Amino acid sequence: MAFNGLISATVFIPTLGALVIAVLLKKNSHVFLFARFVALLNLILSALVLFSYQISESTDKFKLVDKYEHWIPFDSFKVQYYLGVDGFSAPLILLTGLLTAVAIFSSKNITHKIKQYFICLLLLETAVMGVFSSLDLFLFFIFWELELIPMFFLIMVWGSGRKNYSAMKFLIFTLISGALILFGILMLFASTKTFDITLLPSLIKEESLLIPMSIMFFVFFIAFSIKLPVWPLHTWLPDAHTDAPTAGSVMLAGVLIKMAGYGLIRICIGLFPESVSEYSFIIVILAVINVIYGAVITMRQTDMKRLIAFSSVSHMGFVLLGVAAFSGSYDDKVTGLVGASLQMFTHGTITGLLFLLIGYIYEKTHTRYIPHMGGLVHQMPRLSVALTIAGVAALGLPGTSGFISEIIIFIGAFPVFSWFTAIAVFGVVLTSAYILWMIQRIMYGPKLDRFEKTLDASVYEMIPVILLIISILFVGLYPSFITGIFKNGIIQIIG
Amino acid sequence: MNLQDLYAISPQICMIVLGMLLILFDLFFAQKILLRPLVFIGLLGIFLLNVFLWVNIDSNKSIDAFSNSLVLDEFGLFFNCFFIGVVFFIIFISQDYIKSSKAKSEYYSLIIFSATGMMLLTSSMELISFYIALELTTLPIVALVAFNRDIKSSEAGVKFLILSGISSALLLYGMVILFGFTGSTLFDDIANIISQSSISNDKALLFSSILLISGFGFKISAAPFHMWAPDVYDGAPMPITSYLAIASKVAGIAILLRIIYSIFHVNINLIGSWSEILIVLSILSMFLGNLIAIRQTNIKRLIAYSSISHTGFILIGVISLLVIVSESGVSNSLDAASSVIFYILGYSLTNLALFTTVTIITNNINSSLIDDFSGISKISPVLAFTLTLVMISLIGLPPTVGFFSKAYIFNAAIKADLIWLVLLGLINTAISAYYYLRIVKILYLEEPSDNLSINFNYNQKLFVISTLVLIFIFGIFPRPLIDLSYIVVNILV
Repeated sequence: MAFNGLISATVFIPTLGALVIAVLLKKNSHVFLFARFVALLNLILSALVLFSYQISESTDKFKLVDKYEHWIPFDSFKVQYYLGVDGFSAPLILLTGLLTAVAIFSSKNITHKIKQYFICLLLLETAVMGVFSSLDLFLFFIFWELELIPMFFLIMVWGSGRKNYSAMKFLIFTLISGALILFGILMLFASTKTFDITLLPSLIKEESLLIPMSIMFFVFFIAFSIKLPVWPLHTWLPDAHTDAPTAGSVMLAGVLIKMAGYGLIRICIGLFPESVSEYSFIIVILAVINVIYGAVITMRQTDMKRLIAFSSVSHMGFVLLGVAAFSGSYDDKVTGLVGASLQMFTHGTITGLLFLLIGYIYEKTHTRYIPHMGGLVHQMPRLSVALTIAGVAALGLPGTSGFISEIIIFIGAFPVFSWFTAIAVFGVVLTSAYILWMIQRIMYGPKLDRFEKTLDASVYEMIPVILLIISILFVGLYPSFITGIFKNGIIQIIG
Repeated sequence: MNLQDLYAISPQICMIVLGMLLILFDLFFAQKILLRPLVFIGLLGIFLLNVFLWVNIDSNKSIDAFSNSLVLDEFGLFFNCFFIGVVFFIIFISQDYIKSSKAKSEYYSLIIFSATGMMLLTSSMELISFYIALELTTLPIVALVAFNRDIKSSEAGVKFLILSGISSALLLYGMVILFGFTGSTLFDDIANIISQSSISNDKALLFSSILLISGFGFKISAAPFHMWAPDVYDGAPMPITSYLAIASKVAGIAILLRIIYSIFHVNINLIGSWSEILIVLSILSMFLGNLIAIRQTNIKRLIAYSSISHTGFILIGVISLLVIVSESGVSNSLDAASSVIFYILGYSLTNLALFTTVTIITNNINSSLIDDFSGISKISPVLAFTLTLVMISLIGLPPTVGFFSKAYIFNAAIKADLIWLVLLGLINTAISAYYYLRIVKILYLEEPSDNLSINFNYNQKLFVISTLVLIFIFGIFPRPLIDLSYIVVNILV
């Protein structure tokens, strides 16, 4: 039994906050204040996690470990409470803290069921943090499923449009992916007698598994593909993103789909490296389809939110491309995976920012239909500057974090799959096209009368925006800080 | 008959005495106000007697009684306690329902007689006492189902009477064949004689197995013997519905486990064919239950179909038990057996909360249509939240007890190499989420109708909250329940 406490606190303080909101707080204004306080506290804690990881001198694979072996101690079913971080998960925990804070600070216009709304957001934070820090597969799965219920309610209760349909679709897709993961981890347990992620890599051998390793790999791969999402299992994502409330979209695009990328690298690569190399051909084809198909579909969207939602499909294709580089030489592997993890981080901040801004614009103009918009730069200069920055970051302009992650992925994948990478690079061109076209249609052009009285974002509303812009530019200008951390983690996972 | 025999069945005797006392009480006293306290005190006393027996019993030995036809062991004692607890619960949630009835004492004593039958059932080791106990279980339920005496309730009662008569006949026919072959009614004797002679592969034996399993299938409402369940659940008074869904099903599973083990201890190859039959039942129950439940508009019918699908999940555990025993011997099956008990415990706990909340709601809104539940969250957040957690637990999502019981049963099945069965179970989990969460959606999303109000007293609130907390606590720390389930099955294995 080892107990550091920091990571447990980071994971469970949001739950505690949710409990306090549920039981103790009566007035709505107190709920708002308290939720912000908890979010801020957790942002500080998650930064502290990254910081303590950096300064920690222990040589263990995982640091800040909280471990209690006797949670369910039976030999036939041995589950530990086992949390810890490595270089791969620590930045993602910071990302979760950051985006939850952004989501909570930006939701000031919620009018009904305020308590439940913040409870859902905080529980979501616990679940995602738990996924990123669990070192026991069963615990991982518990957190993975825990995410489902709050997100379901966020879409269904506070969403818009066809919210019932989207929530149900989200639910069913996620449940199927969860069912596959449960199946996979129970199969692993039956063969190795442990759920411990730190022990599993050495225990998994082709002859000890109940079913062939390649099938095990595909079970997990399909499960994570649903959540990432990978074509053709992506159809839930545009609906869920479009109909979720702004904070829900920020969480969904920013951190929830990163859980899948995390699982892909932590479980698929960590436990079945041979299968990943063996089937990297399939992965790279899917990656290219994701990038190109996602981008082409995005071009055709007329709903702002749907547009950004589809662009996520395209961007997640790059993550997959980085993973596919795993079949190459050691250096290519490391580069590809560092790129993939950085892409997850940057996509979280960039797309989180895009959804946030689009939420603001929607709140003020009451429309998301792009052809009805135009000339908004006259009314909302602040938002249009922010949207332009977010847009160019999304298309990978040098100086922003989007450029760094994409270039690293291309460097890693090119020696392995030259032609496919070349096609995927073309996706960046398409990205520029749809992003710039979107910004042009929304923000520029002649001043429109019907937006005469539309207001710009207030200073308060700009706080989360600026926070995200800072993080985008920081990573863009000084990438080695975060790539260094990711590299430590990735090298340990590859072994 | 000697003292040891009486000692072994003292809980059952006390239950019978309590039931009779209640009827006599009704005969001699006009005051009905003392009736409930009497029931509660009596049940508490019998519960304590069980605890006393449990403390005094040697955990590795069983006490045989009445020339081995009944047995007293930890397994039986656990289920005694369990059934007393369920009766306690049924009487607790009946208070609104029974208030206006004139036949209070009959109602209570019928429930107690039926529970006595279940207690005898789980401790019987022989065909005749098994059969008598089964009838003692079923017949009072028939009267209870028809207790409202309106057209729907009476129809349900008659339906239950006829179908349970048929199923009993099937069981009896199967038993007769067994007796005809072996000349004995004791489970282990029968197994002994069959394994020593050359008739073990006889078609007639298979036929008798099929008859026996059909009878069981009826009692635990496994498809395709589930037809009675929706109508009877719907027609019966709500507390009796919960009695059927919890106690009746658990009793069936418990005696199934006991029979399986008493046969296995003689010869592990004897009932291999049962697993194939049970697989069919399990898959049918899961799929039929879940798929039909999607279309239900009445909460009672929905609960009926959902309980059918849960039977399918429990059977997965029983099947893996059978497979593990026939492959690697009795001693390795401890995990599988305990997974069945753990599932039963989780299922019952969840159902206690489900039925309490649904009873309170249906009593207040005078309707059991799911659409009339709309907006309950605005009127009573506690009930709505409890029902939500119950639904999450029934689906089998964390952090509830239902999640661990499902994971545990799947774990047992994977150990028995029933991978495809686990996959089917997982598919069904996903299907079931659809209709369970639809209820949650109705509770939270829609507006309540204008004159809706829900009143429930302090006791009910306390009970609802305590079940809620238990579902949640066992969803995070399931260890006490798992420990308990190991203790219970230890004596069988």
